Amino acid sequence: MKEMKEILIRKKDEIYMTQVPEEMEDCLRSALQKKRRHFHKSAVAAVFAAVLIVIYSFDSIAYYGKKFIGYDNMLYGNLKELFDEGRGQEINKSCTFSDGLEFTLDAIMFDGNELMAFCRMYHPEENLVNSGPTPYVDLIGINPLGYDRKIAFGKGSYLDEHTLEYIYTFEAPAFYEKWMKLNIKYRLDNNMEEKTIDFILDRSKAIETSVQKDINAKVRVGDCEVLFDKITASAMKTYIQGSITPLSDEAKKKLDPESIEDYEKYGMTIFLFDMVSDKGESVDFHEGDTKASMGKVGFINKGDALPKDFNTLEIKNIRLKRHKPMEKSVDISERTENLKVDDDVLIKSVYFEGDTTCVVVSSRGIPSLELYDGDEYMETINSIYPDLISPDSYEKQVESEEPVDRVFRFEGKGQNMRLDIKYIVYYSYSDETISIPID
Amino acid sequence: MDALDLIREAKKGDREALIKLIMDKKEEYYRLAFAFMGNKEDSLDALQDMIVILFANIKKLRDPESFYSWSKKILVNTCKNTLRKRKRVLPIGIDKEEEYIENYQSKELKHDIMTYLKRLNIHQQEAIILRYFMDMDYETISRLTDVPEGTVKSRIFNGLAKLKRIIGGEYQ
Repeated sequence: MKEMKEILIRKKDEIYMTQVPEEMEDCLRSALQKKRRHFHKSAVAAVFAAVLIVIYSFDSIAYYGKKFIGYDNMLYGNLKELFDEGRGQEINKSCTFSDGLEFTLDAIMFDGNELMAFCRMYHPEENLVNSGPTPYVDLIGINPLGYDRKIAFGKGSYLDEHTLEYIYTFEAPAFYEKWMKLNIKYRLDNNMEEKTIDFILDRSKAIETSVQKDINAKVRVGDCEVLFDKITASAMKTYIQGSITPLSDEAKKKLDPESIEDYEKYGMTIFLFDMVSDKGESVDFHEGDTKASMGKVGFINKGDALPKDFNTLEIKNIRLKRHKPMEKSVDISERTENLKVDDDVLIKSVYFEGDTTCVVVSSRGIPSLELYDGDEYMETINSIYPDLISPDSYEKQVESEEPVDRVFRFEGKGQNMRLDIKYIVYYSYSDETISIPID
Repeated sequence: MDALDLIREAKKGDREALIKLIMDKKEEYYRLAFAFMGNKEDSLDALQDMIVILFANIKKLRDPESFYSWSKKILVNTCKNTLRKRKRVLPIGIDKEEEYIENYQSKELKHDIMTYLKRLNIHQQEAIILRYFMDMDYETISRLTDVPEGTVKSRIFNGLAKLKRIIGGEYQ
């Protein structure tokens, strides 16, 4: 897995090295002027130009006393606040490769869950924007396997054409680790050059755990029982840990499909909840891991840091959201009646009101639809993220025991109009709220 | 003029406003297209297709705040449609799926990883590209592709497993 990830990360770095062609704006203008869909391709060969990363910036970098400067374009929210306060551990060690590239580990920041490494690359002669070094970086301690590099938070930013900064994120070193190594592998022509930066983990500089508390609360959600086990939080992140126990065989298959057949029949289930403080501030949870074991599904939901001022946290709107995939297409170019799509989905009728196409869908769950005119995507109805694609939220719609008729109206009609039924969404909510007093 | 003003102007039919909206985030759009198409000319083609569709449909965009996610979704679909049409063409140099690369362990792939990615189905390609090349988390991919997070995970898992079979080497 590590090998595969390494290859993929390297490719990602290559893509970020790609410069936007100067002619892009003219191409867009020309497309709109001609209003045609396909264009003659020029015989220009693709060139991977070398830009390592995301954002081009000329901000200065420096390390003044205990306060970190730089990395501005890559940090936000509570992480930026921590950085601005100079939290974390200064390392300030470098190594130099044979072509003159200098790699510096400026600092690290870590809590019990993650370690972020703030790194800088400098080449006195090469224009890094064009040549873009793409070193592999591993974090190693006593544990010879090292610590997983997290894909989602590896970001960089140019300071000038010779300098770029990069934040690598790894899983946190185990409690027994002290002497750590950052291994940097850098490809020069056909050789892989390897350098190491040693550093001692100073646990006094760790971002301390601010909350660690057993919750130990059970709630019933549909045909599952959810146990909220504990909450752990630091100024970097909040973790809620627990498990979901299905109370029937069918619930088990819905929660943890073991086969393609289960998946096709029941779809996938996602566990969600909202968290708010007694002062009304909400904590966003946007990451999560699940692991099935011993008939249960363990979960760790990861969210932002907790607000600074509160007495109690409340977990509410605890819900299981199940998406059953459909991937069925329906021709809506002509009048249709009673077209069965699935056991739970019936197209009751397709009819026209002037230039508007109307489709009546009967189902217990909420259908999520995509409209196409030929191959051309037109719009999404009831996206699972309605805030982004379709502002008509269906979050408050509930699954009915009996099928409900829903009428969908689309502007236009034509012989190529097609409706894709992507999935049906079913919600199970718990009415219960969990209160967590924090001392 | 901020983005919302530009969107309002674009909805009224102002082409330059639409171009500016895209060019203001040109790196994001170009890299997204490039991650799918793998070369400059096809990426620019996809962007041209995208802007024509945007111009034709922006009047129907009900929530201006969703312009960027809506337009990126259209770009992804445009790229996928092009790739689908090319699906019958096998990448040069690969004769069979079971091909193993002897020196995989030394990290010297015989072909660019994109060549192998093209052997996956379009949904798996899409999920892996967005996750690993565009650094998106599952939730963002789910929003952009409009499939549940579980499906995204399953496409990535199955796609990586197939890549392992194609490339060989260790995969856990």
